[in-house]
Amino acid sequence: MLIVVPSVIGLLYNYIRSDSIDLLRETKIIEWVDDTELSGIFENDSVSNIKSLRTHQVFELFENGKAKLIDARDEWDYNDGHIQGAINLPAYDFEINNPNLSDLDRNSLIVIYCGDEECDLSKKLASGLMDIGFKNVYIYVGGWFEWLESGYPIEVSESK
Amino acid sequence: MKILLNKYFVLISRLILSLVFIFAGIEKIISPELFAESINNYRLFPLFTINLIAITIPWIELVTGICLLLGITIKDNLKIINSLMLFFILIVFISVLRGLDIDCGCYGTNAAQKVGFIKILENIILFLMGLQIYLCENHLFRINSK
Repeated sequence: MLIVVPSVIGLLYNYIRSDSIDLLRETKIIEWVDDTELSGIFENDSVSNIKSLRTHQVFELFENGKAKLIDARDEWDYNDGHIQGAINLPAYDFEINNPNLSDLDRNSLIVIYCGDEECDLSKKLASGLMDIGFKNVYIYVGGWFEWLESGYPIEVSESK
Repeated sequence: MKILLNKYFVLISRLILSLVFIFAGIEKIISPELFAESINNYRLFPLFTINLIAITIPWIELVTGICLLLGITIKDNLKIINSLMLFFILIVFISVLRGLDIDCGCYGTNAAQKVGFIKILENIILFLMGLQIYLCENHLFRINSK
């Protein structure tokens, strides 16, 4: 009873809620950004709708300085190496009064990355930023390891 | 051993454990998609089961937490709570062995908690609290003690 009744309540509640999830999960479909969309403003309305950027798109944004790159990994991984110019906002320690946040314009183009496609820290941080009013948030799915493999600019920080 | 089963000490453990489960359940109910993503990251469960787990487990946590808090069918609740804690300990341990850098999904919020030995230790402490409550025969503020 203590398993069946709550489970049934959970299923019923999922059925009636506006942000319900499917009963049977299917293979994650990554929604990629088309190259033509990069220059536009795009408002994401839920975690599952955050669009993803490919490495060449992130590099294009990096070169033209149009995006603010954010590393969602913890401080130690960030210090060991990160995309050149990226700031560190660890998803595990996300706080509204983080000093790195106060420098960010809520309308600016934000690209968040973490380790690789298996890592979900970028998505968690993106959700957190959108909750506090950031509108133009994308995820770089390939992340640090794909950037590193591509030979694009990186930097290392000194540990505090 | 007697001091561990002191009814006031057990009451404190019961309060803590029940509030942890209630809080964890509510946080996961609020964000089922985030919780489902966390479960998926463990790479332990068939994909088609992920959302079913994400929908049902939080409510089991919430209801058992509330029942434990109110002192309703304490022992039956604890069988479920302790089973869940053992399960959580196991999956976190496996993830640590596999070197996964993931959110444990423990409280389903945006403030992620990493899997690691600290998380395993936390869960072991909660499991031991559950065991302590289960072994106690004389509970304060209960509706029934079954």
